Amino acid sequence: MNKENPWVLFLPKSLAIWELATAMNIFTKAVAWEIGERFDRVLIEKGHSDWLAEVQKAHSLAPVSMHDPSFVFEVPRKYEDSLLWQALPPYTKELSSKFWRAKKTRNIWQHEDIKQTVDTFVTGASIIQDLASELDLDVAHYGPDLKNQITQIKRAGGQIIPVDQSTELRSLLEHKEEEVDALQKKLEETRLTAERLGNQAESLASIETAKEAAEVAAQEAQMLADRLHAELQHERLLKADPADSFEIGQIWPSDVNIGSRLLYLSAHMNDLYDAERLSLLSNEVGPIAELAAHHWLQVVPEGGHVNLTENGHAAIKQGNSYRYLGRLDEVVHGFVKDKPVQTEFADQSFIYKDGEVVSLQEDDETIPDGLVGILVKSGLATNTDIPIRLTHDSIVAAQIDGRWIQLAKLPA
Amino acid sequence: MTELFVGPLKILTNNQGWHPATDIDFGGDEADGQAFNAMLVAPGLALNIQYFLASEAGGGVKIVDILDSPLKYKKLLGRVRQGVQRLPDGFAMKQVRSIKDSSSDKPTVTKATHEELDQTLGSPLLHILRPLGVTEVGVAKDMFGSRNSDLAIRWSEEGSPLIPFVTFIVTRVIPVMESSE
Repeated sequence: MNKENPWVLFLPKSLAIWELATAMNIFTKAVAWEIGERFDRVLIEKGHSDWLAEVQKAHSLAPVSMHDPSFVFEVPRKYEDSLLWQALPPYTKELSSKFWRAKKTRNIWQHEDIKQTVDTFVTGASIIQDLASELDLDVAHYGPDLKNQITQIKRAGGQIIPVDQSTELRSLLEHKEEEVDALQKKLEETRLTAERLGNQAESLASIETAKEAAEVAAQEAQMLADRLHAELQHERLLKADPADSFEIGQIWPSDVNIGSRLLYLSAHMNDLYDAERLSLLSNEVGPIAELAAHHWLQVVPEGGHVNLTENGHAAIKQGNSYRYLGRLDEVVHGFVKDKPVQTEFADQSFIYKDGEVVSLQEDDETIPDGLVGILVKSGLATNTDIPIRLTHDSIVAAQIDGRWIQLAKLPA
Repeated sequence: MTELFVGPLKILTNNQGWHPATDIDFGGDEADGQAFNAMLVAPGLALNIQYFLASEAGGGVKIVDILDSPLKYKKLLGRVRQGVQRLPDGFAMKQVRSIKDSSSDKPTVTKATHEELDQTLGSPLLHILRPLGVTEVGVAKDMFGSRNSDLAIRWSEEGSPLIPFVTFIVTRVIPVMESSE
């Protein structure tokens, strides 16, 4: 019976390493699958009904899967007298070498994938293709198809489809999940058939094969789900919000969306009131709303009508314009990185230079714990004196271009 | 934080709880004490309300801001305070009166019965007050030996600060809400 190869050609849409690694992984699995099937078909025909057990025993192997690339590529290369060669063209050092090179390629894409490049992908695809062509496998065409795709991507400037990666990944994931469902169903059917036939060795091997395919597909689905999650985060970062660069207190530009959620910054409640929902924002998002209100009321003590964008940027209405207050989730404990200081300074002040902090207080030379680390990590120039101060609520600020900019908050 | 429905209104509180404040105590003198802030809200209505308790002499509940609410609520601003007295074992409102003529710019409160307040609320007031810790509702003369026969409400130290807010809504805010101006 000619089984359908579950490893369908995956053509990368960009030169991103995850796409190349996926494509190479699928190509090697597809080749190994077809060779494994050939072993099974030919060796059973030749009377070795339990050929896998024979091979395992002959070469003292741990239990293996007949489709596992490391088994399929390794055994013929290592054992010239292996039973497997009975299902292959006559042994030659050249063919053995092709198995060895395929195995090596598979290993580097498996264990050192992050170090790989477009060039090593093309080389690897040629090596796997070489073995597949020599054995006249159906999947040999994956090699030229992949290399042709790389050429197309390069011509298209590095990416072949202008849709966002997450859309593509979501589609791949849905496809893979359908495949997992189908393979699990197939596994159940195989089990039932095996039970009906009295669980003979051949049936058990079929279960093993179906089980392996289902497990591998499930792993692939998980891999795609992880990538989708990472890509969605990446895309969110890429969709930069112009308000991210606003300074607290600046007038909100009229050409930037002000946000449609209307709230009231209440000094009475130290909170934000949502008149549409008849609710305080703290009831919806927790104490962060009260912290934000507390911080913003230091800028606008009387409070007032606030617009909130989807990303949590807030602006307060003042006359006919809006003043930027900050981002809801950034004002935890009153600290907003890279924004000017809004609260009062404590007495102590310092100078930071050459990775060292010096207290300017004659009567107190104490350097607070964690301050040096914060300044070193801040990436501030180290060859000039940089004035440093702390606020009463332990925010570390550096004087940059005449303004006191928040760097970090000292650990409690 | 709380969202408590009282008739057509909702009382909103958050985590700020009691905080130091200076205001007028039960006897009408300025005193130091603690304040508890809340909002009374309904569609198109948002009132800032404060419950002040002086360290010694009790205090009361009053509206401190009507925000963007209809102007008719301005008549409640700082007026018709609901007094709260400290007792040795808790608190009491010994004179629970309600606004009867809400058309006046300077409304006054007059004697009300338990039944009248239930009617104003549209449901039994005690169903809201009991879970908040109210231990007794009755006539002041009977409960405290007072000379007046006003409605009185008593609660223990553990009672909720929302009790006087609920009473304020039923005796002051709903009557204004139901008035045409």
